[in-house]
Amino acid sequence: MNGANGFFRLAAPMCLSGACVHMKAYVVRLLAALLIAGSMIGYASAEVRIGITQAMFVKDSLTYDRWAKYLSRSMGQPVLFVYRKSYGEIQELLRQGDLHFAWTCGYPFIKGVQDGFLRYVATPEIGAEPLYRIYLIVPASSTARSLDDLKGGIFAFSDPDSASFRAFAAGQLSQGKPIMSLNQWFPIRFFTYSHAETVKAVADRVADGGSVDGHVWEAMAAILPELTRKTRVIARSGTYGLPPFVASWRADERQIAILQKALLDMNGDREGKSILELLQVTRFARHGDKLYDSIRVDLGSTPMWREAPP
Amino acid sequence: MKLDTFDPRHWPLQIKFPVTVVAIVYSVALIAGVIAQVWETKLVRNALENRAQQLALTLVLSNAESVARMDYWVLYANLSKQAGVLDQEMAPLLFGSIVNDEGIVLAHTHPERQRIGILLAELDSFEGMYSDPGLVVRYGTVHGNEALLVSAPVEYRGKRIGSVLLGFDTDFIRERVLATVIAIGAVSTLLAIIGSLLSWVYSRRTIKPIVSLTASAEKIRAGQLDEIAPIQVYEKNEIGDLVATFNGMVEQLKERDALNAQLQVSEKLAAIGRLVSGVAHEINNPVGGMKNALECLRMFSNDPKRREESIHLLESGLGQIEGVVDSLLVQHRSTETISVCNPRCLDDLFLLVRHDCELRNIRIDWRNELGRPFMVFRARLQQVLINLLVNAMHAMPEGGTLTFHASERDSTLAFVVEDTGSGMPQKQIDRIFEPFFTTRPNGTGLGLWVSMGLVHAMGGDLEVESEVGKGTRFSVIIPRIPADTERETDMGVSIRSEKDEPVHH
Repeated sequence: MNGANGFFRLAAPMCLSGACVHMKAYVVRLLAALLIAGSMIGYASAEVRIGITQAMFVKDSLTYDRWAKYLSRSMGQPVLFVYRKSYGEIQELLRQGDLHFAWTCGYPFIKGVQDGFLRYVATPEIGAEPLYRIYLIVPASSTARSLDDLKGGIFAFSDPDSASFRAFAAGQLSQGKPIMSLNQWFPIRFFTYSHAETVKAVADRVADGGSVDGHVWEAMAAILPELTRKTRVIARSGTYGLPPFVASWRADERQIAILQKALLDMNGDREGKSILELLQVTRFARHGDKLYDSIRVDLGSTPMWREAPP
Repeated sequence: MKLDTFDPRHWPLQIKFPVTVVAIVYSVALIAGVIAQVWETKLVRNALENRAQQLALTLVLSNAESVARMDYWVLYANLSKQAGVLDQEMAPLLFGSIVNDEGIVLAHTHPERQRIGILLAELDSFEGMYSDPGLVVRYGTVHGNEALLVSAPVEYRGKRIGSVLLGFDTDFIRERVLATVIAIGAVSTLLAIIGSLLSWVYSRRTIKPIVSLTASAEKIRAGQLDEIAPIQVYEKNEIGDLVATFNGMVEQLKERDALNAQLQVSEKLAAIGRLVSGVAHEINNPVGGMKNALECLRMFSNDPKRREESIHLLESGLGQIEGVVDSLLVQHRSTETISVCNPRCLDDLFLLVRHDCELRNIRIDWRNELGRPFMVFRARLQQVLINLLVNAMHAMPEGGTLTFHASERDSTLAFVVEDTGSGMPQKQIDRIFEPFFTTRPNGTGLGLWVSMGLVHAMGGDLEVESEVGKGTRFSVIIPRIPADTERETDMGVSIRSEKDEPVHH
């Protein structure tokens, strides 16, 4: 049986370098970090607050600690990473101006741009591309060959505010046919708020299918082949821009420029390169928000269900 | 060591000790095993029940909100996390499930066989428990196998919205108890082996002196005292004491034997001395008389009367010396053949003693119960009986009763001569068969010695019983010779037939 040990085991080897930290230790550190972060809100206005979520494949808090230190040095300002479970929560903090920046998904970014409180900063590149695809995965034992075969089953999503969810809604995984009624398609569905967890949900056969970030699945296939081997990819979407760094209305142009420079310069020195490697990112680059036009297209053709995060 | 019988009372101690040790060890092990089984079962069950309740309560507390929100993934993650924390050896979870108030599965530890969104397959097992408002722990069956079932209600804002249902495999209890019992069995077998070996070695060591004791005692009985070597004493305990005492006893016996042998030699030497001095004395007397006679003859050689007297005295002395020598040689001379004897021939003896008895005022009680002729060395028998009858008469100088009793048994003839005289003390009885032992002033001390020799020559026995003040009784017992046997005497003993005169004391 895959118990919680399996659950943790999944997280532990996810860090690619030797700096692996057990999930438990990670949770403890995270809580501590959150406490400190909470206590700093209000008076430590000099620090740069950057929001992140667990949807990122890399969850190792040590990496984020190193990155925060690195960015603090290169930006000349203390940097604090603020962790939240869902894109929705990060989006709310951005909207309220509690965060200067965030590393979020293309879909909330486009929404934030449309709503006028987010600006583009930079996009990571994996390989030479700033792009990724959404995978539709099913358990290895499943006979399903397309999304149609999964209709009426149990489905796992990562985040309701993610491009992967929207891509699914827009029919990117179903030959362009938008999913008009989610309840009809998947009366039982859930959100794991992590692409890795979604892979696990499908591998454990809790769900009959799931949609995940293709890069995450590929990375897991390299590190945890025994887990991804229990899943099978039956459809791939078109490309989307990788989750961008975004700036809230709280950040001024000078801060945006500083962060942009800091991110883009990361592969110019050893520590920066080492951190990029841990993040499984080749480098950060400025691509502009045109990169996320495919999401705009999806948005235009997607029925807007009220699928609020619980 | 060999088991002669299945009766343990006949077993050698060397077997009995190890067997007893094994029996004790296994009895203790059996009792311990039973206690362990009962105790272990109770303990393991209690531990399982506690762990099961704990898990159910943990799941209820941590998942109420997720149940309300139907957050399947969080429920599954929590459930598998808690199940994973569970020590599967102490509490093997068959399945765990969180269901809504209708029994529809929201999360299950085995999603591959239990889909969410449908009724729990094991719901039947929870019949009655599932609707209970409190936490219920019960033993029941799941798919035919015994299991510990736990049902705990999940409440949210005061309303029951679902249940945590758990099933634990109880097979491991039996296995664990069995393992304990097997462990006890293994340990006790080991102990039994060690114990029996030790007790075998110990009992061998302990019993070895006893076996040696038995062998030595056997040798004492067989008279092989010289062959007994001192038994080794290994330990200073009761057996060691016994062996030491035995060794001491053997030592004393050996000393006494040596002393006896020495004593016998001295007694023989003493007897020979007495014999020699007797012979010397008996010969010396007539020799003295004969010296006088020779002196007389020399002095009065012209006196025919004196000469005749002297010659007669010389003859008489030589006759006495001849008589002594004859008596001494009686056992080593002549041959006599067995002849048939009519019982009446014994009555001749009566006639011989009757006159003397009348003179001495002795009554004779003559009982001859021999009815048919018998084969016998007649002369020897007659001489023996005359010796005894004369002795009896002499034992009663004041008169009394002389009893003669002849009787026959299957294979023996018995002749008893009894007097009512003064009797003899034991000291005297011990010596009466020695040559030249006599209590009478004019006795030769050869009568009984000769009689004993004659009886032995006939293959018989001469016994004496005497009581001071009451009298003495001599019994001659000789084996019957079958009537058809006509054989030469080969015993080298005879009496001169022409000299029927009894030997007097």
